Amino acid sequence: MAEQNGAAEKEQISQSYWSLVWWKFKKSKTAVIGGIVVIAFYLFCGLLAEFVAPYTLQQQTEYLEARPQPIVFKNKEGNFSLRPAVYGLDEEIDMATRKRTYVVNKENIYPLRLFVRAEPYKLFGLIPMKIHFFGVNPDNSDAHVFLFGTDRLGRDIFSRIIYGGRLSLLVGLIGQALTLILGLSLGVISGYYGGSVDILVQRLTEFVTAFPREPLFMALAAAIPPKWSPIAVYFMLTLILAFVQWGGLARQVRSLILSLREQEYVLAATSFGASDSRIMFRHLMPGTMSHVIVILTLMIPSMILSETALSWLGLGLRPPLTSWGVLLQEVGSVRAIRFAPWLLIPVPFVLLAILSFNMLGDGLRDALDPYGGR
Amino acid sequence: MLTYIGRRLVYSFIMLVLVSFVSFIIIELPPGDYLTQKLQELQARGDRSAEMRIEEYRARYGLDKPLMERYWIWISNFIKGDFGESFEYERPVAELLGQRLGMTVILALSTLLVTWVIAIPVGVYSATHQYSTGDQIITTLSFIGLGMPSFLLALLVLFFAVMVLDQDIGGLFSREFADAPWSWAKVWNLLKHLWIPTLIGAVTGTAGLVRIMRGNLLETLGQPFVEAARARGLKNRTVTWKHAVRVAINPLIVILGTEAFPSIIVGNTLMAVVLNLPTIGPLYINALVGQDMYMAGTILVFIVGMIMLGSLLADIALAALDPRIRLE
Repeated sequence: MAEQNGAAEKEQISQSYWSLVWWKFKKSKTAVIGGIVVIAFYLFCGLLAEFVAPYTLQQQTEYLEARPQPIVFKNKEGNFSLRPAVYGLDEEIDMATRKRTYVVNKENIYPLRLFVRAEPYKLFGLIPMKIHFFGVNPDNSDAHVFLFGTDRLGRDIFSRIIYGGRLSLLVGLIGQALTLILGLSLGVISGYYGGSVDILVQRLTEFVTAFPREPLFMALAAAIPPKWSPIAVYFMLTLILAFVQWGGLARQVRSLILSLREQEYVLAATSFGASDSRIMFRHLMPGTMSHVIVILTLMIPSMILSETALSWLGLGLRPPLTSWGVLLQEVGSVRAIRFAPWLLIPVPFVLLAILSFNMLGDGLRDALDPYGGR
Repeated sequence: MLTYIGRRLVYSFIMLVLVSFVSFIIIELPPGDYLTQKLQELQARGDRSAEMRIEEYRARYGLDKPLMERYWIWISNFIKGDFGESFEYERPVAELLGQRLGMTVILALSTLLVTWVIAIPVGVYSATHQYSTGDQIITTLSFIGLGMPSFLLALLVLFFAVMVLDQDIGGLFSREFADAPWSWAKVWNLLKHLWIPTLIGAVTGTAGLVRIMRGNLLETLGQPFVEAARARGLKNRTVTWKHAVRVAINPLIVILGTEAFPSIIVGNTLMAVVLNLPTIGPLYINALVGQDMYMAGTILVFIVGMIMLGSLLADIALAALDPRIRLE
């Protein structure tokens, strides 16, 4: 055992920093699972939403607030079959409450198929396609599949969650890019120059962080003019989220730079006549990268969550834009929960996304410091 | 020490003035104001005298004056304790806040109590039994709890209550007690409603606190003075609770000051909206949506004030408790 360890250590010595990081990252199961789920989210919701979803975003069907159809493994005769299928829904008016409900009709069974031709769309916004990942027989116009039910306009919730993930997850990425630019450059400048520049930036970050995060988000989001186009609102919202977040990053980068700038290689660079900006962004900034990556990864979930919360309150994104928060707008009342509880299905998706980001970030934090710790 | 406190107070005051100004601007940002909305509403209803009445309001609230002058009027009255009037309720902001302050404080304090009573022992257990099965379960749970947003959790709990228990758990009182005078029955009714938001609100805080407590205590347990206490033959229990925990708990005062203290005012806004609680949080959101600016501005300034006061108190308490820390 001891010999093995010794051999492993010898092997380690000749490894580069990033391969050490990868080696340590792989050892943490939760981090790897988190990473895989995050990648899957961005792949299926971000890139391939049109392909994965059986319906398009705004496609309305005649089934209003229909309940989710359970998946069964049966064929038309009621015998077991490997091909999953869903039972059809029949409309029924509940005489007591005068409400339309749907009951499962076991007579109609619609087998699920892979790669069916349905509504046309453009993959990546470029390639016109008709093939969806799964669906029901497109030749049978009665056939339908609502895995998570439909909303009050008869739109398939499964498809909408897939599409909604795109905006929700993208808020995290775009917002982080902005946070990165603001926080990193101000942190580096503040730490490198010191003196009055430092004091100025320090006071600025202090002022921004003096505001409580949640109430400030809300106040700024409420200030977005309602007449703006949805896209403008989206970018404004991302900007706001980034604006509130950059202070923490700037502060941490500054303290890292403060220790890095005393290193010999900076002196060497200075004596070679390197300019300030070259030293800052070419020599000092890469040294902060591992910390920055961790901070950013751990910040993404709070951004996704903020967007969800703001949209849910009606202060953020609005239809026709669809994000997880917008989907949750429909369940603001107890009535909605009572009569259409499947509208809550976006909640587990938000939670899963947040959890996997946290798991990934936590693993990265351990892995990016491969020389220390256990 | 006194000069330090004095300097911090002056600094906080300057920050507060700046923050109040920026808050005022932010709330002022949306085009139009509360009265333009109101005017449209009245005109839509076919009110002929709408414009005249709106002009009256405008003069009454000083909305016809330029921004700086309005800010000055608001802030100078603010110091005297007059926070302006809410447009939406047509009553003084101070009165509206006062109505909800009691419940907000009760909810915040009960959440705080539950959080600390659960988190400290669990954190201590987790640290003293490092890498045991119990520790691993606690670590996993706290990890999940940390990422669990309370408003989504509240939605799930509401779902569970409605679908499984067939009960509406919103609010802090049953309907028959809402306007009733205080009595033992009403207090009992409050307690029956209070535990749900308390527990939901405590999840995130508890998870975070457990992790911090575990980390702090692990660090402290490795220090020589703990070793020395053990060497003197003290019982394990005494070493942990009287020697290590006392030191490890000190940094948590900062959390108490900067996070728990401000939450007395706002509490958990989003959860309060889901569960329909009569706290200040939902009032703030309504004020923002309705551009009820004096109301929103007042609450925002109060929150920031509480944060600054909290961090000052935390620093003073820390210096008093921990002789290694000196304020300068």
